[in-house]
Amino acid sequence: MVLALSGRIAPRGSRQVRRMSKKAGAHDTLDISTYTADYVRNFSIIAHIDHGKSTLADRLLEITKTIEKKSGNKQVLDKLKVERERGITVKAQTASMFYTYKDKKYLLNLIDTPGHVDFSYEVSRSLAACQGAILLVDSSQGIQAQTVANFYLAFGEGLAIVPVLNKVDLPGADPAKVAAQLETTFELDTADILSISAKSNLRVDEVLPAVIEQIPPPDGNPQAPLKILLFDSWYDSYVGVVCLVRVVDGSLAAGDYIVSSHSGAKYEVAEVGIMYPEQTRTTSLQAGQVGYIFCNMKAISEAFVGDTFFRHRHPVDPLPGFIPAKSMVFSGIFPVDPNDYSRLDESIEKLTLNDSSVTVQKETSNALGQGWRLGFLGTLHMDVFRQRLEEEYNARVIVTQPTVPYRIVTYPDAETAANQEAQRLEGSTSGEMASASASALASAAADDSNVKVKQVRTPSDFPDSKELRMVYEEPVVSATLIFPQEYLGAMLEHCNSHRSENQEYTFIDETRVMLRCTLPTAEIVNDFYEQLKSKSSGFASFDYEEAGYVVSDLVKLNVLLNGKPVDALACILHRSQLERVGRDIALKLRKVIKRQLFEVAIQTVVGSRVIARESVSAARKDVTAKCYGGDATRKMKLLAKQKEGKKRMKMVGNVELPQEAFLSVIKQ
Amino acid sequence: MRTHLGHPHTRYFFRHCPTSPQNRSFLHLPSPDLFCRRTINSRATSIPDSPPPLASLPVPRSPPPLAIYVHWPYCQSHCTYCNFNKYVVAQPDVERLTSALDRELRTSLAERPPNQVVRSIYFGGGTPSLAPPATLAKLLNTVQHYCRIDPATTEITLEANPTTLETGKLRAFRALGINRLSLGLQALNEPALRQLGRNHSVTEALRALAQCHALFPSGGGGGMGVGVGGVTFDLIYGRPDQSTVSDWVKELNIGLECAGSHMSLYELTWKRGTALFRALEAGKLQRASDDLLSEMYEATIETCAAHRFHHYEVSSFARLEAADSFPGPGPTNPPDLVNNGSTLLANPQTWLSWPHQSSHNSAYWRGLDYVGIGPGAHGRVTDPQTGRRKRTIRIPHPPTWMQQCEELGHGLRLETELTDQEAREELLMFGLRMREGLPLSRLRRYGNTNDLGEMIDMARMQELVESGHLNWGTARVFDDAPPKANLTAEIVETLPVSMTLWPTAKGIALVDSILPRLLHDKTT
Ligand SMILES: Nc1nc2c(ncn2[C@@H]2O[C@H](COP(=O)(O)OP(=O)(O)OP(=O)(O)O)[C@@H](O)[C@H]2O)c(=O)[nH]1
Ligand code: SF4
Ligand SMILES: [Mg+2]
Repeated sequence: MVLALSGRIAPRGSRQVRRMSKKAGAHDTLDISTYTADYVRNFSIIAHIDHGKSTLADRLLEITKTIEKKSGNKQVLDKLKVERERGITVKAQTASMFYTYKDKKYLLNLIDTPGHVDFSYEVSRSLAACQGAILLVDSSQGIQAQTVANFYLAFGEGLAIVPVLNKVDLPGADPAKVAAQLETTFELDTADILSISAKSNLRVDEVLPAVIEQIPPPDGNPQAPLKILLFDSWYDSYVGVVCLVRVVDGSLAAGDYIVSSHSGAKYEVAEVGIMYPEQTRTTSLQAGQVGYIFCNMKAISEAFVGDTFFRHRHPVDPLPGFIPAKSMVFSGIFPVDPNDYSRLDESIEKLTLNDSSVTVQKETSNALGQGWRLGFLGTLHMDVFRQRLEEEYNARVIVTQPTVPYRIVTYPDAETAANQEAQRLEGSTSGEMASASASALASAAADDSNVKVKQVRTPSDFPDSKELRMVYEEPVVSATLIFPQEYLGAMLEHCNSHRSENQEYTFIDETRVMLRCTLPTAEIVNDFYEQLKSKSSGFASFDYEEAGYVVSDLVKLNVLLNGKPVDALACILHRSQLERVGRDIALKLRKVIKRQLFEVAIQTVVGSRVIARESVSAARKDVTAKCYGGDATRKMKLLAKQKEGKKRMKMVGNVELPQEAFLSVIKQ
Repeated sequence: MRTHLGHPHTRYFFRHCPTSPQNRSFLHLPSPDLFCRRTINSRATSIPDSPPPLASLPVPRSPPPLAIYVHWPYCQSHCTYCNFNKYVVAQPDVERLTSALDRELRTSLAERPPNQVVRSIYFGGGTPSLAPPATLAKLLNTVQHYCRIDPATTEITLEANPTTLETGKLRAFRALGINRLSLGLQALNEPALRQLGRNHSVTEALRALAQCHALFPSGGGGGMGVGVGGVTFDLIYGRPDQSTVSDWVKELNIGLECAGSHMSLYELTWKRGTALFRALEAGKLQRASDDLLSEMYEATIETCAAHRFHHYEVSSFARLEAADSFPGPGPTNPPDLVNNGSTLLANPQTWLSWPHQSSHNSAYWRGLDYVGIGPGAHGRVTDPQTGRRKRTIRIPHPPTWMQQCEELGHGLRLETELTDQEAREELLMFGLRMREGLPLSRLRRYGNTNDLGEMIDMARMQELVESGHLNWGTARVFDDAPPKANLTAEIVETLPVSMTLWPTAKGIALVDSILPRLLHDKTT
């Protein structure tokens, strides 16, 4: 089979074969056909950030001898440079393991997921390939916001949940208390709950037996027509597009022809295999198993996550797929040096190949020139993207102030608009701003062809003055905060100062509170989280999910330098924040703008109303005192340097604006 | 050894690399002197052809006026602010240095067209007044051998420190034809002199100054007449001992009382590697605030104007002459620069020709040729063969430099041909440091272009004209005018007129910001 295959595939394919078989080598293609569904377990590890998912994965890979046991194994599945540097998981990683339990051999497929809320899309996607999840909880910290969020994700999918208490080696660990929290919060039976230390390898050997006992095998019929769910994909510069799939029914081998339900395109399967933990070729993949396939897709866009594949000429009903991830914040990205534009264009394209959750649009700014407007799942996602651009592609970029996707709803006439606005505002004051009704209204509006809904991705899309037919809306999230009760006052106050609504809280045990509320998305994209951490001495955790749109009194704040607007510094604000932010931005700009040839007048304005003004007086003297014949060379070098420095300055009218101006404004 | 050849037309000279193939031949040639002349000539033809001058441009017929700088590298002691190429040596081998200087001077001048009148000669350092008069005599002789010195027009300056002067020696220098003395006063305040590491007192300095006035009268004639020569001195402001503007103005007023025809008034530059800089780093001294420095700078110009000293370059001031003592078309009454300055200065024709500017320093700023002789000296000369300009830098360390001079006839460390772009940028950079600015004719002659827009962003220039930083209009060009003593009204009438870009009083103070703003964003 293998020989036949390598004879058939194109030269590009033959290189693939060489590269692919990193572990098995050219000869030992693994035969996993004996692992029928009963001997397969597919599970994720889910948890709050830093509760030890990736560390537990290390131990499980060692126990099953998938990787060699050595002291240096630290989050081996965190392969990206950013992941290693930041010590967080950004991308879900799949690894298959073989494990003998009660004399039976099992094929276990583990997916290590990210804990951070920005990447919860990775979690939900991973769960679609699993029948169960290990819910890992740091027994010194207890249940945290992402524990709750991820639990409900898995629970909602109907997955079996194996709670595991981690970090029992820590002096502050209190497994009994955390077990009690799990019982009250999730109604989980914690009678036989495992208490382990992934780091010091304490009782980790009890984890896999529990997985096998408590997580059901996948159902699925190897004899039924082929049905495959594509749940992850990436682009590998050596082998091209790699698809991670769960075989729901039937079985699949190299040489088969499969068809995408999404596009109808037909592909010949060039290779199948499992992540062991590297790509390792197998003779087949069958119902219940999870693995990778290569089918010579040219572009990553063909590997549509959530797609169902079937055997050529044997169509099946497609699986429901996934709701695509939505951008939560948009930011402008511009090259520091405009000459780098095309290089940066290429880098962004390459980076988004493996991160399809980033949306890309071209954008032109009067201050920053040509660039892009990118949509991200959150600000950490944005920051990780920027870091990867800078580190993996050596790019130097300016990232502008993040904007959430506001909406402008235009009704046929002013009266309808006013009615709609009143109606929806009423809904929200009566404590029912709730997501469901708000989005129901919005979608009803969207269905009406007389009503136009425009999404605002950048402040330039936002009008300077509001038409009477318009209603502005802003996105909101429903937030979950968990913290010790002594911070209740501070946390309520913190949420109130960020325009929260519908607060309600419950005690998850005698000392810990879970607070839920609705928050405008715009309020959480800046330093909401950092402040929350500092106001709770680091004890509060925070999670959120999208909750539709609410009507909002929004205004656009423009920044004028010597009367000229700087589009990249404009922002959309709730009217209540106008004065504070307006003053703040003017002040920050005054601090970063250097004295120059002309006086610089800084104004923040709404329409023609000036909110704040500051000025930077003109420089009086900067000329070098001495310059004679012997100084020519040095002076010319200095001039070249100044010219180079000027490139990094952005000219707005006659004002030289340093790059930091854009950064300092972001950090509100 | 440095292997990096930064510039396509840069040549490095490696005295210490006899094995370097490109230099081996240098060392084995029987007559380095002869060889050098030949090399340079043959090199000229081997340089890849420069772009042919624009058809419309006149190829320069006469070589640019010539200035000569000679560097004397020794000092008696270290001043705390100074990072010049100078060495404190107990018994320097003066003889050897003299003949090395002479060798190098000969080699350089031999490349020039014969019999050119030398515009100016400058003995700088270090402390060149420590040199025996015989050394300067020898060098001046050599200059005369290759070029012409006109006692009435050639400005010959010697830098001197108040301590090293004794009347006898000064007389001897005067007898050699040196007609201008530049005295390093630096401060007129005892604690400041100590802090600067100067080994003379205020009294000594003023006595020396009076002596100089007697021996080096302006105009070479007597009294404060117009013409070549005179006395200039340096003063430094923005020093750590000065905490207010009036501290400085008081001192400046003393200076002005005893001033000759010219002064150089500098803001202190804190140079890395100096004792003063180390004290700053250690927190023992404080730098004056930008605002204080600006105020001092402005007060300097005003105070000088009140004493009829014209601020003609960033740190240079020349005494204004009443029209009757000045043969050129000057104002009839002494101009009131403080109240009337802007209108007066707005027209360079009325003030450009004021007679006491330093010819030699103006040569740097006007983009003329200058030959640099001696350890670490820089030069800028036009290649007679190609008409292209090159920059020369000599080996800084005296023994190494001398050794190469003895072996090769010159102490050249590297020689770089300037690209058109570099030549233009340099013209602009220097030109805007003078109130007379940069005439387009100069750009055409040395920068190979008729079009200012090729180098600078004309829209930005217009903006700076409107904001009162620059002027752009026609003006007389003095670049090729005969030296000032001969400048008569008739001659001035015949001087060419050119479109000129010149800074206003406000603009000249901000030249460092103006330049990068003007120049096109693209670099070569
Ligand atoms: N003391 C102790 N530390 C642990 C244990 N397990 C993990 N850690 C440490 O906790 C930190 C986070 O571990 P990770 O495995 O990266 O956590 P994670 O859940 O994968 O984090 P994200 O992927 O960012 O959500 C690391 O410093 C680990 O060394 C444990 O059992 N005991
Ligand atoms: S300032 Fe002049 S005298 Fe003082 S060390 Fe420097 S070169 Fe010598
Ligand atoms: Mg992790």
